Amino acid sequence: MVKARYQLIMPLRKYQKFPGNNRFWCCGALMSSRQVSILIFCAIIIVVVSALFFAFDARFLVVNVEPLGVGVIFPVLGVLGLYFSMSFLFKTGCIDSGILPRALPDEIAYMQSQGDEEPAGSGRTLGAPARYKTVQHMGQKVKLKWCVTCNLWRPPRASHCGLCNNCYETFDHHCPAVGNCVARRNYRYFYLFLTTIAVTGVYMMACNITVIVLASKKMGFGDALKTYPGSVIEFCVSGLAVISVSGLSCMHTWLIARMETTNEDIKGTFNPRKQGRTVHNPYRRRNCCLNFLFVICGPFPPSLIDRRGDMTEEYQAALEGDNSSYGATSSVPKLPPESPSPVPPNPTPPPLAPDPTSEVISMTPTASMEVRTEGEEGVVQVTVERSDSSHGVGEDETQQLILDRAGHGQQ
Amino acid sequence: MDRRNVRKIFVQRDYSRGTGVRFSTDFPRELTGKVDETTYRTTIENVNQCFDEAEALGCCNVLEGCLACMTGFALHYCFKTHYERCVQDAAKYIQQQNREVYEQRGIILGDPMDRGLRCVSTLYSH
Repeated sequence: MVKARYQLIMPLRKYQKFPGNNRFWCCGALMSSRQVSILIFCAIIIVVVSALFFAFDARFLVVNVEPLGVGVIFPVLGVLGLYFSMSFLFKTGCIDSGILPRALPDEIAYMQSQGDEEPAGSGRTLGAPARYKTVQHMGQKVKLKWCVTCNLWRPPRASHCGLCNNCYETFDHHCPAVGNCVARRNYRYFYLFLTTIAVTGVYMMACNITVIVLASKKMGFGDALKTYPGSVIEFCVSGLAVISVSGLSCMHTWLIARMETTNEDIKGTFNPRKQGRTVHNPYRRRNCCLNFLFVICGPFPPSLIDRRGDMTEEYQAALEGDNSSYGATSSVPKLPPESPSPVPPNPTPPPLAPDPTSEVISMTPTASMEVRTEGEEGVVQVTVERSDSSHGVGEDETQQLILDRAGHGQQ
Repeated sequence: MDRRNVRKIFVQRDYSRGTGVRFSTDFPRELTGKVDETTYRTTIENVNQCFDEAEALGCCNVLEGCLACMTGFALHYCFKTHYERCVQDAAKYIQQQNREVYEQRGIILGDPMDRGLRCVSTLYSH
């Protein structure tokens, strides 16, 4: 009697073998750095303070502010402040902030064969010397550095984060408070988060003062503090938040006006005193307003790493190689087939003897399965096409089911 | 195309006009005799124009950004961004060019998004 057992092996998604120090959530849809405890703490603080505000201050102000009805605006503004704070915090901390995917071996070999880099500098004595190449960039010559981890020429304004172990486009800084690097794709959310927290914090403090003042008229200052302790807690927490965030918000406002990143400001990339009088910032627009418009309302570049794409053999081999390379989606465009595919379009499953002990694997609605058998050893190749792949990969993947016919004899 | 004689070249980014996505229009010497230089340059330039349009600070883009900002960027959960649509247009254009021009000459241009916008991979038969 033939006993058939199917073991389905699903292909991995690329995020499951991502080489950087990142953490993925929701099956690769969201990502952050390894350390997210401070991000969760910030979110909890915002929610708790907002809950205290709605439970005590908002209710008091709706009832006690004259004329009656005007007080409704207080909880409405509170809801808006909470919504925008959480939305910007989520967008800052939980998305790909502009990672440059690592190069694949074929690309690395090609670039190394080009030989367009400059001779190694003489200053370094430890380890391999850094590799540079000079390119024309917006009217001035800039040096691009070869990233030995990511195996690519770092674009201008890009930098490698040692904590996350990735190269980021227009890298600003690594922010432990939001649990992510701040770079091209999430800088606007970071800046808006800081500004929203500063404004909402000031608003909360103003509401707390209003509540205490109005309550003091009825019962005295000491009694008002004892009756509304929530307002006191909110005032202290909001005060701390405003003090810590407002300075940072002002600094980034100044950086945006000058169209510089924190990284460039610290390194003095456009500082004439450090770099010489001829250096200028080519990224600045005609005026500050255009700078702000570009940063906040400018283009929204998509994520370049294909987190939810299927892991192919090529990428698996690249990850296991010395370079630990990782790329985006399918690196090789499909060549036209040389001969007709040997797999018939709709093969029928092999006839199996009815066996109550055989397992039935249920397939997900997004996958279709074709089955064919080869030989008598029971090696069954199954082609599964995942319909939810991003970037239009469209490459068929082959899965291998192992049909175990040993141990129970054949009939 | 015989797979044994397939070679790859990678057209790199051109940063001369900024950090925006732009690929070098220098004609690769490996493609000499396989495709007309003007045709190749036109293809790459049209791809560059798709990305220029994606990154331009035009009225529509700014309005889209302002509207998204006012909704707390929740708009992006419902609609694709202008940049994503331009990236798809570039991919469709490359597929069309492969179909109409390059495949019959033994060349295939790859989607730059497959390489993280680092380069445009080009396969050709040697």
